[in-house]
Amino acid sequence: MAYKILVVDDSATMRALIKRTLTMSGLEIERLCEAGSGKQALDLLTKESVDLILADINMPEMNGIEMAEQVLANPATCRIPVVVVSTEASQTRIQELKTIGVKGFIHKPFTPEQIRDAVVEILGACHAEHV
Amino acid sequence: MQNTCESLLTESLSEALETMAFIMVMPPAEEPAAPQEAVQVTMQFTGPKSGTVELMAGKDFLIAMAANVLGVDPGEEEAQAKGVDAFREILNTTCGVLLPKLASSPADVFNVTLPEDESFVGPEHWHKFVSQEGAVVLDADGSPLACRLVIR
Repeated sequence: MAYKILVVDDSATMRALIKRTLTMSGLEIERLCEAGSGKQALDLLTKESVDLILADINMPEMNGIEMAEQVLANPATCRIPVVVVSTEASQTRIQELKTIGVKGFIHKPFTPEQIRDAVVEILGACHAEHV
Repeated sequence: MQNTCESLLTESLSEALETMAFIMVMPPAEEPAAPQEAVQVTMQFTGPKSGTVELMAGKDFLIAMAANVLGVDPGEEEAQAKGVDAFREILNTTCGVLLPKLASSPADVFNVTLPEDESFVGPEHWHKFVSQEGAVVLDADGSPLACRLVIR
């Protein structure tokens, strides 16, 4: 199965790094989309369907938490797993993210292997859930 | 306290640079020459402790760093265009590593601003930055890099 993945980060460098890591990961990627804010991601999701969202938290316009809340509250997008890729380390905030339904958390700085392993695990688990 | 802040910031910056950009930092063997074109990036944080983290480096270093992060040649347009953005992201990541070290509990929550950048031409801004209390100058793979943590 080839996956469509949306990368949401206000840093163009970080989006490029994550996309490069995923391309080199061995995962079958059908399409990698990107957005520079939560608002741009929500706009994109009205036109594109994706299998996974990798999102930063600290972004202008709309942060990753607000974006995840809206994605997971919308019946059209609520089945898309959202994984936060952030510098956030507070257990309180990580628990808040889990409570709203975020499936995974990748802490920056990450190695390519860490992001690949997390994505493979989450996509595998979600695929198994839906079979 | 100041020495502790300096070492926590230096450790955090080293971790961010080594992991994301494969760049090693160390104390300079001698005082480095000031970059002619420098960029300063700044982030503020509030929470159990509040303050500011600042980094300053020359534009050439930013391009080399962006090239490492992106896995491209420093001469490529992408590295040239993304130097400042990569520096902002290194600051963001440095704060993410640093703030838990300033917290008294893993449950502590910090709020951070978005990184801001400012460019300077001429060595005087570098000299002014590194002469401030708490500023640390490092050698980052042969390029000068300065950092500063201010806790209010």
